[in-house]
Amino acid sequence: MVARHVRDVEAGGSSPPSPTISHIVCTMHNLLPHRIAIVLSLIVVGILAGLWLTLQLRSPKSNRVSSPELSLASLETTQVELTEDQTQLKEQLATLHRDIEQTQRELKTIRANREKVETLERYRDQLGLTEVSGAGVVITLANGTTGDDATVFASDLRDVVNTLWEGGAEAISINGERVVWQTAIDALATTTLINGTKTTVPYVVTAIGNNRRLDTVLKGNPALQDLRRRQTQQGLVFDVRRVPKATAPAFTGSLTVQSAKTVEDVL
Amino acid sequence: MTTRLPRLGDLVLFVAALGVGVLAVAQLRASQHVVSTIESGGATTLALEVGELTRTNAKLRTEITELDAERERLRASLADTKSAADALNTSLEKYEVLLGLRAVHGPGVRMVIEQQLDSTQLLDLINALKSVGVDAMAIADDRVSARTAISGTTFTPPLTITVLGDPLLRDALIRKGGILEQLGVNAQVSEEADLTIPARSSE
Repeated sequence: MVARHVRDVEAGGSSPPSPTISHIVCTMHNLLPHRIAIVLSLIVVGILAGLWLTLQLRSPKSNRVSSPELSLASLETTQVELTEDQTQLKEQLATLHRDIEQTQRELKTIRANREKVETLERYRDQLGLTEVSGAGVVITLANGTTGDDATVFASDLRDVVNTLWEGGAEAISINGERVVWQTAIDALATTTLINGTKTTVPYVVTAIGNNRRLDTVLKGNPALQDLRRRQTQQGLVFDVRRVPKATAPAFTGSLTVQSAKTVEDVL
Repeated sequence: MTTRLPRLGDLVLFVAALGVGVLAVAQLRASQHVVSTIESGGATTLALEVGELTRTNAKLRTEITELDAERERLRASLADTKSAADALNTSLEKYEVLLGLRAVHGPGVRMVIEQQLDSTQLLDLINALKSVGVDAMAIADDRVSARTAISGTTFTPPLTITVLGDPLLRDALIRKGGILEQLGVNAQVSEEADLTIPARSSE
């Protein structure tokens, strides 16, 4: 920088032809602030000009609102409120199921009703409206560490559940959500909806049934080969444990019949 | 004071500064775009979640109303044998429909799949239909129940699936980006005013 300034001073022709070192230093001292000012001005003006030009060139017209503003904060609040509502609604449903069971037990004491109530109790078990405990398997599924394939997808859960039914499972639950006739297992971004309730990894699948048979079918089913491959290659967690006792909780969602009528009604 | 022409060094400096200004705006705009894209994605996911929660909660409320009525019927029947039988029969009928023990009829959708399906596609299709809302379903006249497992590797066409349930089932199947398009499955889908679905053939 000093050498360049010396060359600038020489080119300016304002210094004497044979300057002494002390003279050069003196001249530099006088001209340095002036030169710095010019350089700084060029930089500032250049940057400002660049900013202005870009803003002018790339903003030919003002932005307009093209769709109604979707407030993220408002959505988050709604999501939290609806989740709380859902918890309360499920509690109400659980209470109603308990009340109905109690009333049916009372009806059972009347001899004429006994057979019907016993049938109802059997149906409630089959529908998943009661808690089931017994021997079974507990499967843990969790994401691995490498690559997109290391994620546990909703389709993996569907494959595991289907395999468990194939193995003769009596009852299945995933993260406390009982799998029943109308249960859908769907992906929602990085989470999963089971019975319309959001859940996420790790997924703990509990299946009640003959644990040896369930274990065998989980090991041998070709539909789970891809899951096994990702377990080996991507570090995905797919752990199956046989247990002497596990519990699948009662279903607490809705089991509705919307429009179907029994055929006997029209005959 | 003398007027001097700008030197090459000064020009280069000015152009470089100009470039810095241009890049600064470009960078700012790019980061704003990324932020808005991320926020928009988050909002979409949240909106979907809110939609699902709203739908599920509405179903839960319907179920609460129905169970409340069932509880009242049963309580009222404690003192009356005749009404007890009626109340128990109503509950039995609902459970038998859900378990697939009774043949049912009503407005529904018939789907004839005209290509070979593998078991995972069929599993996804059944799941998607359940997600919309089904009362009863049969595959090749075989009633589907909770414990129905889809086994085997492929299903050969034509494969007929009949479904009773949500009025939106047909639209959900055939709309652009709907269930069939997502699965890449060709099927004839028809809405029927009165479709009958048989009971399960065995326990």
